[in-house]
Amino acid sequence: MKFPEDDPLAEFLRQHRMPTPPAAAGLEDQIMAAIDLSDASNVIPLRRSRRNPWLFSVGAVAAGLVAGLISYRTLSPAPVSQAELSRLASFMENNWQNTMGDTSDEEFISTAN
Amino acid sequence: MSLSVAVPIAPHQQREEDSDRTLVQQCIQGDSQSFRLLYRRHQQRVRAILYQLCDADALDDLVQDVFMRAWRGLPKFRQTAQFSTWLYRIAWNVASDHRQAGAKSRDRLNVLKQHVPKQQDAADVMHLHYQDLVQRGLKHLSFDHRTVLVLHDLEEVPQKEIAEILEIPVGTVKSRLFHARAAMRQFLQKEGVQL
Repeated sequence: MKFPEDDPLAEFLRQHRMPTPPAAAGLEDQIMAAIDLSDASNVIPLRRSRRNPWLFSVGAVAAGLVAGLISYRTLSPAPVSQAELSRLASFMENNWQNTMGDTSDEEFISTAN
Repeated sequence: MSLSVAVPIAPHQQREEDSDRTLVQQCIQGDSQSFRLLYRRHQQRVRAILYQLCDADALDDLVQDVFMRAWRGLPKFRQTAQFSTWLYRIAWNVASDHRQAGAKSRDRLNVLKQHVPKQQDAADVMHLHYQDLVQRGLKHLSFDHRTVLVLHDLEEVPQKEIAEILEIPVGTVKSRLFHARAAMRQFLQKEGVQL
């Protein structure tokens, strides 16, 4: 749609438009430097965003399994050897016999009195 | 017998002749020097649009903002659209944001002082007066009307492209242009300018 009646207006506006101030010296280089900087700062977030969230959960499960295994190995008692078992058995027998023997003697003595 | 000699084209000269589309592709692949060429091609017009829509104080910052946004947005740029249309839309967005931030208008008197030469004749004075009137007339318009008038009458952007830049129907562009011109004509008449 043309506005022929407005041609003088458009012409007037174009003729008397305020001239655009020139760019500051070095603006182009400044913009290009900012672009290079933004590229450098974008590297880390981009890589982070590409990580698969499943990797974190798999890692957490694996770490839990390792921790459980280590605690099981350290906290559970070590297997008892045959020699230790026989020593324990003789210790219990001796103690038991001593206990019974002493008690029966005392009882015997006390009843005898 | 005519001899045809193939004149080798220097790489930089070849790049100067590349289309916007080609340069955009190279930018997306990380070639910032192609973006420098795009900047050189379009900065003057972007600068002019921003100047007519905003004040001159922050002009360099606004231009930088436009091209930074463009660089960051290039991967999302649809190749079906024209790069210039897309870039002018970014410029318009930056101008809108700047306006909404409540930036103060520059004192017109300072602008006049900057442009007044030491020795001038009457014609120069009238020209400066008209420049001031045009600038004040543009400020007198609503932002929507001003945008359409600047793009169409000052930057001579076709109405169809303006519709794409502003993402409005062509009919709305025509309507805004009609009202913007009417308001501008009224303002100028009130200031004693007969067109």
